[in-house]
Amino acid sequence: MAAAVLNGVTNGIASSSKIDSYLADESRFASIDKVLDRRGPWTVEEFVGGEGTKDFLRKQSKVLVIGAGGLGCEILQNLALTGFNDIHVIDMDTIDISNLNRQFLFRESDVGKSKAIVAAEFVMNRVPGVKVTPYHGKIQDHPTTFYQQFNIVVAGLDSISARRWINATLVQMAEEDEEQLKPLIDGGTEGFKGQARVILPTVTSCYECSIDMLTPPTAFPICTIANTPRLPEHCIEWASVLEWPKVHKEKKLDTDDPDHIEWLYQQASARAAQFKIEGVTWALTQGVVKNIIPAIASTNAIIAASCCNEALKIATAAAPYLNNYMMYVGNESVYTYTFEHEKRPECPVCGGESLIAEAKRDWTLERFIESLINRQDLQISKPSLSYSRGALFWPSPPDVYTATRPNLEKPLVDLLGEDEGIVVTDPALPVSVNISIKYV
Amino acid sequence: MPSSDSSEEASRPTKITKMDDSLDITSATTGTTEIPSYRPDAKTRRYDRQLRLWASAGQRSLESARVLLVGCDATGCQALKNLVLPGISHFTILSPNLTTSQDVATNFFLHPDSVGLPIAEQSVKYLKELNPAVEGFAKTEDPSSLLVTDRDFFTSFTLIIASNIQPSLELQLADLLWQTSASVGGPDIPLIAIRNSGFVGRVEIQLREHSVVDTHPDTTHTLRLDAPFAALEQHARSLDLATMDSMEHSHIPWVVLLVRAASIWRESHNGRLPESSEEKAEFKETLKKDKVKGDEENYEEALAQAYRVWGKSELPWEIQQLLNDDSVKNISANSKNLHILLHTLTQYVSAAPHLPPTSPSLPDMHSSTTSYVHLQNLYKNEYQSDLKRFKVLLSETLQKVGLEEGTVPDEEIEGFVKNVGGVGIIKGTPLIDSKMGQGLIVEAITNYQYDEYDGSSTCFAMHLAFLAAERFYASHKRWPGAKAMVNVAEDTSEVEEILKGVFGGKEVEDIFIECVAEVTRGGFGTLPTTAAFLGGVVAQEAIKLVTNQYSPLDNTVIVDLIKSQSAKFKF
Amino acid sequence: MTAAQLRVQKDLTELELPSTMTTNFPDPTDVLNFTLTITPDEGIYKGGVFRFTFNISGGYPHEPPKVRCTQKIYHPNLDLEGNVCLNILREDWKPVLNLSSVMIGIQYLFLEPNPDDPLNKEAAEDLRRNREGFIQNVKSSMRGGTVKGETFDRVLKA
Repeated sequence: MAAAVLNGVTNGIASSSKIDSYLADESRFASIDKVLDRRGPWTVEEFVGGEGTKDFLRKQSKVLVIGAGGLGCEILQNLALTGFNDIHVIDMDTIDISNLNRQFLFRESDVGKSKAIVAAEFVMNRVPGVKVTPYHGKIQDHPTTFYQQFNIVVAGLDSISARRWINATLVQMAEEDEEQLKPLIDGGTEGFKGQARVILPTVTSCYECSIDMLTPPTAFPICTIANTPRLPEHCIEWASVLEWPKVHKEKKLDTDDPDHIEWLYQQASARAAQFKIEGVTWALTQGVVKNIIPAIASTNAIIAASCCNEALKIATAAAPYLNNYMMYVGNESVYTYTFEHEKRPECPVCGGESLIAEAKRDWTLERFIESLINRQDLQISKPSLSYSRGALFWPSPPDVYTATRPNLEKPLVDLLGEDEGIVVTDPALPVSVNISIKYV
Repeated sequence: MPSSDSSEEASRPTKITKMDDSLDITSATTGTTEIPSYRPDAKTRRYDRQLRLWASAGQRSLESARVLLVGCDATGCQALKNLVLPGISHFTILSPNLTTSQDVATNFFLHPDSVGLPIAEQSVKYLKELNPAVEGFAKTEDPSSLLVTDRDFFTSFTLIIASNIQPSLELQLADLLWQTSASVGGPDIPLIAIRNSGFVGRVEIQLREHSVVDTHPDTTHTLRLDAPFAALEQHARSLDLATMDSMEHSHIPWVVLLVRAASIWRESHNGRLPESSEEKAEFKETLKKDKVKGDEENYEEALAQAYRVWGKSELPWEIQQLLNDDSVKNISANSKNLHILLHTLTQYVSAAPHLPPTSPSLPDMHSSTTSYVHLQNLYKNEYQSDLKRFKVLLSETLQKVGLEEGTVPDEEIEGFVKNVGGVGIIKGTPLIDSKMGQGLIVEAITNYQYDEYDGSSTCFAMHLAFLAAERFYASHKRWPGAKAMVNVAEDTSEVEEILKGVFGGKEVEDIFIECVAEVTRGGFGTLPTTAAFLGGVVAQEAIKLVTNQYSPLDNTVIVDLIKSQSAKFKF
Repeated sequence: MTAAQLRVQKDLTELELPSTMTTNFPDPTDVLNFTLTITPDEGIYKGGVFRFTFNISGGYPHEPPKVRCTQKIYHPNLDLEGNVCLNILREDWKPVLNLSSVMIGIQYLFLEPNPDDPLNKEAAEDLRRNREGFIQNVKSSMRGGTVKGETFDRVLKA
């Protein structure tokens, strides 16, 4: 579990009298105060304006930034300047030289250091008065209670799995307790294109709802790679997918190790020469095996700004927030497309229902399942149940049935505590139902 | 520093380079040149993620770009940040102002310690930290007087960004650059002008003419399926399908299958290709009959691509338009390389077979290595012979206008011939037109209709609100809503009146009143988020302009961050 | 519970496998890793017992499951390392597909080996050139015999 480091380093920064007088000068916010003091024609009704609004923004709100990379650096800068003063940032990565063309809070001397820690320090130094708390580690290592402390979560991630995880976590939190509904603002970029979206867990469509919109990672047929290569990419995949495990056995390929890339490059080049295929380069080799996506500062700036603009609007109600998706395309002139991405009823994360099922304390699991089958509002006949420790009872496949069948005889109270969730699937259900037990 | 008296040779723009080492994974499939390979050095590693977008040719252009920022504010500095990071050669910030605490609060490239010091120097200091390879200067003179005393200063840059400067200064600068580019061989320096107030922003680009050498089009060329060159048709007809084993048969590239089927079809149809939908269906049916088993992937691909047989291998419409342009028709020794190349292309296609040069690239398709490489070589050879013919015509063209052989570098000729469909020329308009309500904007105003479902109608109204606010500035020497007070009704109604004037004093639709209210609400103050958004947009456009790759904005975009939307206009 | 686990629960509990296929869970609490056993009841590979490991990542169903054959077998579409050439395991994978589609796809390879897009070139060539000889090679390889110098795993039903 990653620990909060450098908590409250604000005090540690060398403070000059200039900083003190700057911080005492409330008029420094004159520009942003205009839209916080004044109502505009599209300002939403809940807008209070004036001190109340500013106080919430500057003194009460707490924002979590996930990712301190290309988008993360920009997000931290924008949030700090916008007036969010209690910012937390998580990132598990360390700084690489290829980050420096866009991750502007880092310098060459920072290569190898934690992104979250260096970024937090930089922002606190540049924008005195702001507290940024870094966590060097994985989002998955924090318990749900950690996420409960924030008002807004802004994500600038490059990983689909991390996005799916935080999305599912926040949806679950909101499902269990409406008070725990945290807006998730998600940004992503590729080359000159990008998108920003606002997810209100359980209310709007969630990240998982749109998972089918993603293009699956490029993969070539394995028989092409093995026998009929035509492109330099086929030769590179041959080296990484087929030759590496054959030659290096158990040693795993580390795509960040230049010696490993060198080996792949040499193998791929030799194969390309043998088949008279042109175009294997070091950069292409690295690009194919690491699935590198082109990334530039300007696109990150646009998308991060859009994300932080939504955060500002959500925190202050100075304008209606995005409902719920904006795409930016810069390859050909400037083009944006703003639309409402619709919730998918069969979404495995937000599509399922949640309900509370009553159970008597002396019931067995079998008796409980019977009660589920008898419920008119469920209409299920062959349910499979899972809980936090895996399968609770699955009627198939045979192995899992055999392993979970003994549970049927057990008293329910021995298997599940009060409020412990169960996930139920059934051929008759489009997705699943989350059930919490209430003993009566 | 180029000025009007420098030699023609020196001032001829020669910035057209091919994508010699395009690393784009999707397109780097069939490189025709030997690429030197080595472990990347520190610089290549630093720029790796961007080289995959614009390659070393684009990077070279970027690394020779000199950018001037007039007006040192958060938006302008955000734009510069996004240009310093990828490695422009040089930037200068021009501003006589001293830093205030309001500046520090919005601009990340200032610090409380900067308060009271020259803002240009302070921001240069913090921006330079981003990339040791980039040179940065501060000039603390007054831009208005400099425009009078040292015009050459401005024309020494590749590109100028004017961020939230006074409207009159903006126009003087625009006028200088427009006039400079009018002179023969004069530099065409794009001006990117930014205006923002609260949640609303605008970016305008003025340029006289801009060449794009690689738009990075999505669609590939026709592969000459309708008009195969001799070697291709011969190859396709030489295959003996009957004697092939099933593996060989299922690995004939779909290009070959279609060329063959089309060739056979033509023989029995008086040299015509399928035209009616019945004929097209029949063509596909005939092709299907050659399958030896149900699931031959190459045949599936051929059927899916059959439409290319009835698509004509002619120059794309956009390129034909370019050839009709006067600047291409009538070239001189002062013409840009791209115009000379296009002029030569006109001659090239006027001779038989009246087709554009063959491209050497071939998409991937289900096929064996040997059948694919063989086919690829056919295209490469044809490209080589087309290139040769093109070069002969080019020499004649150069001679005719009195330019030396070699004026257009080989690299550039090859890049052009390979990718004729990927070039473009943009003809701009002077910024003053839209500011004065003349030119293309007139029609937009006359035909305006509000549509609540069309974001661009709101954005257009925002543009007019900005325009009206700029006129307000001209008479008050301050921005509407700029004073720190909650009630801005007085300013708002005055701007409304100005806006009504644009419509000849008539009552205007509510949307205009709303847009004026929103723009005045922001008081032309800078929200850091709006600044960052616009800074990103400006930098993307600057990169496209400097590298001559991808298509830049022509010429105005309104960014409405209330509704998180934007719309672009050509005024 | 992650979206991947939930999807696997739905896929696995709603599987309707023919009698020629069974799943085995070495650790029934870990449903993301299991083996599939195929015992073809017709075709050239009848009489064999073939085992494949399924490894499902957290990226499922955005990413396909990873499937390998644990035995060294003589088959045009499997290589000697256990790699399987099946389009839906790589280039044609889509999130709407499921574990059932993959299992059916693998079984089909034993009923209709495809000699035209081979992974084991020699086996494919044998099949194209001389179907009878190929069948003999399959029989011998399944007994743990040697084909053209390569010794295969015995996979016959006990």
